[in-house]
Amino acid sequence: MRFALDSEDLGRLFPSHILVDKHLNIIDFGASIWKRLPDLTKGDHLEDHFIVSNPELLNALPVISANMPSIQLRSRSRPITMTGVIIESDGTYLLALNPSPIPDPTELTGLRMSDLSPTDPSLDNILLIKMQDAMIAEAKEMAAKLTAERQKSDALLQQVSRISGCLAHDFNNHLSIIKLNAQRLAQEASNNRQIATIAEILMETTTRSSAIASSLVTLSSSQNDKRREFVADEILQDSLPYLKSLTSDGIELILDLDASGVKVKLGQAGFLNCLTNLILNSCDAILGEGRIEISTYQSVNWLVVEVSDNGMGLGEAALAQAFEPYFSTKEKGTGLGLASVQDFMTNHGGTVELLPNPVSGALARLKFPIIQDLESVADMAPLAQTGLPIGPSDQPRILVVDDEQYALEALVELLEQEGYHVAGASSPREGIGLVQEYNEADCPFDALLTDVIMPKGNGIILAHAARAMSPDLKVIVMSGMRPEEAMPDWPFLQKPLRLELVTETLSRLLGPR
Amino acid sequence: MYGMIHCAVREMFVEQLGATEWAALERAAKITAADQISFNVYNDALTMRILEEAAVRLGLDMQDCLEEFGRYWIVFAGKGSFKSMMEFTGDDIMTFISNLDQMHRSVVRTLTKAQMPSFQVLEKGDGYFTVLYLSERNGLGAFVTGLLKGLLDHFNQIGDVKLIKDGPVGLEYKIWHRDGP
Repeated sequence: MRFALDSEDLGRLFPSHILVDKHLNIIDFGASIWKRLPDLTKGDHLEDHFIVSNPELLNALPVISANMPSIQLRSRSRPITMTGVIIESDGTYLLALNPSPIPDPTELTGLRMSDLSPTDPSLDNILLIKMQDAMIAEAKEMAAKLTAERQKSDALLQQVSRISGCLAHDFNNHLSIIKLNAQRLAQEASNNRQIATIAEILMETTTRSSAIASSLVTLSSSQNDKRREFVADEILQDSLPYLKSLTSDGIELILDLDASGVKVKLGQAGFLNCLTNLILNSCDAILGEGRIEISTYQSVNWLVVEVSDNGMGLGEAALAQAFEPYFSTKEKGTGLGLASVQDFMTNHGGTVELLPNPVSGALARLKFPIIQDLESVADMAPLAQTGLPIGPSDQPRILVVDDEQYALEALVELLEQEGYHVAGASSPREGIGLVQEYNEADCPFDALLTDVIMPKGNGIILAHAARAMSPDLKVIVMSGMRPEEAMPDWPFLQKPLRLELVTETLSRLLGPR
Repeated sequence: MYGMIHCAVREMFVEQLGATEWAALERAAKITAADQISFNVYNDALTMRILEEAAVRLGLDMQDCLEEFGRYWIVFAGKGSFKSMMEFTGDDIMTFISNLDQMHRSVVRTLTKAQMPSFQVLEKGDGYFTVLYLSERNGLGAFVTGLLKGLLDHFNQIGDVKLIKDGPVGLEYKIWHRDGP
């Protein structure tokens, strides 16, 4: 029994059919063929447009009739493959075709449901592939949102922590001034019981106030991301799958690591958070396809990590403002990403800069201090010599560095009363000048008592530089809050200072007076 | 309903009233981010509670809110993760609606708890066609009106949508359409 089908029925059943004569000239074809291969015209030879999987079959066309052999055609001009059967009917041959059952992803572009027969099994395959793609896209979007939320939360925590830290630091500095001067008062008025009692009350109150400031810092600081030593190249290599998951389709992320064995001491989560921020920024700057490269190398005492992209880049104005909190070039940007990167870098003694990429796009350069080289830091140019009198050789020489003038004066005076020769400096540069001056006079300092966070420099870096000039120099660090910088086994004194503890520590390091 | 509905309500709402107002809605509706996971199934009552809260804050009655959301759903699906599926389903409104059941079947194969409606094109005429909507859910007539209007916009058609029959078999809609500019 034979069924007569008109071309509309044929088109509905096989949207991708081709009708040919025995010479393989195309007589007619379905709507899907017309849409997807617009170059095809009636009268053309089939092999002008398609590579046939079994061309010998075509030579036998006149004799095939009932067994409906299968056939596969591959377009010469488009990534389209079709499979089906040959049906003979009155000297014409119907190639009843469908797109390949498991289509190549490139073949799905532009393909529509109407291009396939309703009974075509590949229809379900394609829909499931598209559903899977949609779910993956949703998952990636969720992951990106989670990352963004975490960044916002981290940035907020960092801000709170920084403000609390600054408050505690300044508060303790002022308490130190009060406490040290109260001690001076108590010593000078030792025969006046009433004044001595008042001075004692002042000192006790500063101690209690200091405890409140310390608890503020403890409450606000993140305890989850402890600093530890690691080789950045190893962490980057291990984290590559995570870093790649941050990018969207069409963006290639590659590593170019050239700092093997170079160690830094950082919070690992914070380190990866910095890279996450920079990669997400790069992704936003790339329209369509592009490339992000993370490279590492060592430069003197620094580990340099660069994140570069070939995206749109940033204009001069945007570059100048990029690290300002709440500044963003993106419509839905929080403006906290780069600000949090800068915070992290500053807190770890590093730097970050944003530059135009020499080729195109942008380049972010992160510089982290390498831990084993910290002790050779000596790039602090000294100020001019101070001309201060250098004390007698039988007194231990102490250098006190503190930017709080009143605290400095009080401490210098109290230590002098304890029998030390004391020189004071209100900045690291001034301090290093004194170290040089005393060294040249062949009277090097025996101990350095330094604050950490000062407007014109960092006490830890000063201590490293001073020890490079005077290797026997003992170092005592004092601060309103415990520094997070890498600090060798130097005693730490929490401000507000107690004179007894200062002298006790000096005695321990230098021997009793 | 699937969480992607909740995500779409959130996006529509945030576009109009902002994230802070959405946070207030979350508190009022007693929902959190855990109630807005795309491929998670939630009780229909929760979805309606969110929509009711949204309607109040948007200054709309519930039916208008449902219609507006139906329209927005097409925008949401057409630009997000489901864009490719939308494109595959059809290049014109009638083909798209004719192929919707097939597309929904593949969704159910992946998201097995999904309860998908059915859309059948019943009658085609010059500049109009009618569609039968069938669903196990009740009370979403205005949402479907919005969906069909959203599809007119999506395929750059000018026209109108009217519910012409509300019977025991389903809801029948008439869609007038012509090419937009």
